[in-house]
Amino acid sequence: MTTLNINGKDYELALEGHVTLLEVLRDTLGFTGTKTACDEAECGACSVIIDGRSVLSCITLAQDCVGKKITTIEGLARGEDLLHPIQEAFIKEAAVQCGFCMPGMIIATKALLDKNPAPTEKEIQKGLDGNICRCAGYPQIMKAVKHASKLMREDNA
Amino acid sequence: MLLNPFHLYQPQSLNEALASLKKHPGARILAGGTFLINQLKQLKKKGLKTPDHIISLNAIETLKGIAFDKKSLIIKSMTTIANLADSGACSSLRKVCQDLATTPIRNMATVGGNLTCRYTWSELPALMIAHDALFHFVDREGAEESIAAEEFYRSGAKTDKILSHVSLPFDNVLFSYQRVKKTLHLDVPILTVTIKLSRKDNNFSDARVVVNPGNHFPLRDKILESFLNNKPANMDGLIAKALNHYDKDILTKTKDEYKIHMHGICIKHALTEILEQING
Repeated sequence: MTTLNINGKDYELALEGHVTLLEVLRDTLGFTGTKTACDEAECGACSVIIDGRSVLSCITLAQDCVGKKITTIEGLARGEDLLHPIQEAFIKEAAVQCGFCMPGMIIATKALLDKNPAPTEKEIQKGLDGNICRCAGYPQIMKAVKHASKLMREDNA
Repeated sequence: MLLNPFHLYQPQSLNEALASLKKHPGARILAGGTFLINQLKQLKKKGLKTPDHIISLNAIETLKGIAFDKKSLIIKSMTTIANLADSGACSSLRKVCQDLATTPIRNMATVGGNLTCRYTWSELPALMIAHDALFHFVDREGAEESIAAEEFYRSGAKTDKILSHVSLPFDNVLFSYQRVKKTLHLDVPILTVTIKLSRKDNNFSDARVVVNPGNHFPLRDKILESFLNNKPANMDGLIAKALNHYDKDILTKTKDEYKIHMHGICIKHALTEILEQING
């Protein structure tokens, strides 16, 4: 049996070596917020945070995540009715169009802002460079990240 | 399932990894996974054979980290590109790593994987050749072997050993790395030019010029190196003269006119950047 720590909780799982983290999250545990899209580690829709860094779960073996802290999009909200400031910001700035890239974008934003609470525009572009939005909603996404940065700094002040 | 089934070994030490490799000589080594896992997916999609045994090095802590040893910088093979980019070590490597691929890829990809993947467009090989790095391998019997980066790539970069670390001289050098990409900044480069120089009195010395044409392992431009060595840094018209003294054959064979044109541009930009480093 393998233990994976996901969103602060331990899950005991019978895993085979070749199973990716993405498959465990979606198919075994029902965390379908993390998306299967390009399947080539190019689009970022499968992004999760492992030990503070955004990674691509479609090319991560689940067994290699033992002992690490995994955060998915489901782990961000602060309660049933309380969104994370990043989620609030993305909604307020109308950054969500079709929504498919959003979990990955928000996860990448969380990883960025946890490391760099007040990024410049260039740093935001770089921090989210592993996430593609086919709706081309980048201007709104940029605004949302800046807004989220402000909200998180106010939260921490 | 995204991948065909395989036995995954997760050794906790290099010796355990070598023991697994000895028992399963056909096993593939898994580092960050940014090359191998995608490769396995593609093989599955095409209905081709995939390995039955994979040895993951991810749990081996002694293969991670950066250290200094007398006059050498030691980079362990499972150090991620992101960790190298964030480290205080070797500003030239840091600068290149900061712009390599994308953020999540940098968080996952390892120095060892980038150096031994055998994709000709991977970026760290040229840097290692420029810095005259040594690659330190361990074979299944535990025997260690060191090989210069240049020699490793000249002989095709094939190995059945595990790369434990690389070491490079820790010098105060002048350095420039130029990348050419066709479209997005996060594309793999189609051409890179690396120039590394030392200075003795006011003259350049120990010049290393490494060109990666993208479809071939990196090559040294010994014509330009020879020109630059012993030239004073404040030589009149240095850049213009250098552009008449570089190995155009490295790219002429590609018959790619854009690359051939950009080869000269990269040398010009690299030398301009180096002169700016000197003049502050």
